[in-house]
Amino acid sequence: MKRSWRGTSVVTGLAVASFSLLAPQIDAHEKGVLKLRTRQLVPGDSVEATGQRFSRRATVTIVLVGIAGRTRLDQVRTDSLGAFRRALVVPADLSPGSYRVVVVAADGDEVASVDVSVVARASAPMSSHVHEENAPTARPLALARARSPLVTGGALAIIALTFVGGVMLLRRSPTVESTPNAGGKR
Amino acid sequence: MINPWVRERFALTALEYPIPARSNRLDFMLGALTLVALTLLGVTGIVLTQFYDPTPLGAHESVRYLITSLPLVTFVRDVHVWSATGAIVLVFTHLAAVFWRRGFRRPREGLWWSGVLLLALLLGLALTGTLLKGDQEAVEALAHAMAGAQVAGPLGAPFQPNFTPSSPLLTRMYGLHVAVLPIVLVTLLSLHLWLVRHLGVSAGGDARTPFRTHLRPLGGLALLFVAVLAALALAAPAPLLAPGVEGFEVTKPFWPFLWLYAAENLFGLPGMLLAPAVLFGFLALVPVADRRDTRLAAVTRWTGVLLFVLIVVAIIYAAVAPGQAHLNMKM
Repeated sequence: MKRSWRGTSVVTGLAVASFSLLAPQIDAHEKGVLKLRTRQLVPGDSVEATGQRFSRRATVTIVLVGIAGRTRLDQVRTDSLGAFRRALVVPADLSPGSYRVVVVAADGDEVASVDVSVVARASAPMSSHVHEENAPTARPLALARARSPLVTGGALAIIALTFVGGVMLLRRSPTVESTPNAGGKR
Repeated sequence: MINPWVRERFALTALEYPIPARSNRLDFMLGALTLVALTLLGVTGIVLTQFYDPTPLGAHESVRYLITSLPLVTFVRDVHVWSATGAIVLVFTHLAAVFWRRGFRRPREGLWWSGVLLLALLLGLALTGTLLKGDQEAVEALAHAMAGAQVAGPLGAPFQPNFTPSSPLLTRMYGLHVAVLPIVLVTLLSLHLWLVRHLGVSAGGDARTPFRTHLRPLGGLALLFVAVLAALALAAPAPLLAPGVEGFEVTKPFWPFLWLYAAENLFGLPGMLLAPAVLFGFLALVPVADRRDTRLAAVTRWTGVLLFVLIVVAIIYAAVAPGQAHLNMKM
């Protein structure tokens, strides 16, 4: 009985010790990386933000921290790789100055940040949202499409076969009388 | 031609029911050809689901991957996109043909209304399909869908990002595109076909020709249709734009929505919402308003013609007019 009690105490002690060692790791957030297209923000514009190496499939809030307090910019959900991409709108009434864009996890922990400066529109070197070469465009991407002689040949064969088959069926179809429409009467 | 043993076991004698001879004309086969396009959309769509990643960050990359790395799947995607165009052209033409020959008159009102709902569903599928690419066009379409949904109040709540914060809006749109809308579509389509079978088509004349004879020209046209779609897919593959950036409007929508784009150009967001309300409101009222041998019947017919012409003109105008930003977005 005494030996059994001692054994139970040892096992319990080891379990508590292991748990207390593991617990901080279970609670810990993965520190992510936040990148902004530009560090100079213009009030009213938007800036593309990308995040990587955050907790997977987690909801994080992006806030702008300045001397006057915090402004919530957006809430995003990370994908299965712990990444996200979002265009953040800079509040139009923001005063010029130094700020920090912070990613906040669901429990309030700050998991990434970037220092930025907010400048008045006239002094901005260019639109803060995107550089000229990265501006959104209606032009399709010039992608090198995957090609295979087998697929192209197969597609051409399908086209030829269905076309010939269609014409043959139509030629063997009965001719149709073309009486005037009865105007919906049965 | 078919073995009697097979005919008996598979109840093919059921195909012998009589139909009017005029049913073998092209304008009476547009509905069946639409069904062919929908079948193609279903089959190619099932293939695409195996390669598509319905997450905001993975969507564009997965489409890009299949275009650049998988020759057969990219061909399937091109057929899918061209089938969507084919289905919408055919369903509009089918609607116009049925409207012109007044195929909505008693006892076919239910047939007409189910067809109108099918048209709305098809446009819903086209919209949700556009969103899935994750490119600039998709992001702009999503912004418009959200703005429209906001006006709709609680009804539009499912189209807002915060409706279920645990699931991104794009993923929910994917669910709509591949599950919810197709299930509703198949249900309505079953009703539509059942009504066609039991009420008959509005071809007039005596029903003397066996339905079996209808299958040969229909099969011929269906094969030609598939050939044309495959040729278009090969010659003009569906494009993909750069990953979308929110807050900008630099593209024009998928062509079936160009008439809404034109309405938005002219009247802003209310125009974009009122235009479909007017069209579908009119289509819903057609069987009620049209009374035989009355002045209202003529008014209904010419109002329909006017609406049809207006839509075609609006599509052409929107296609050639310079791009315009809406909803306070930038160009």
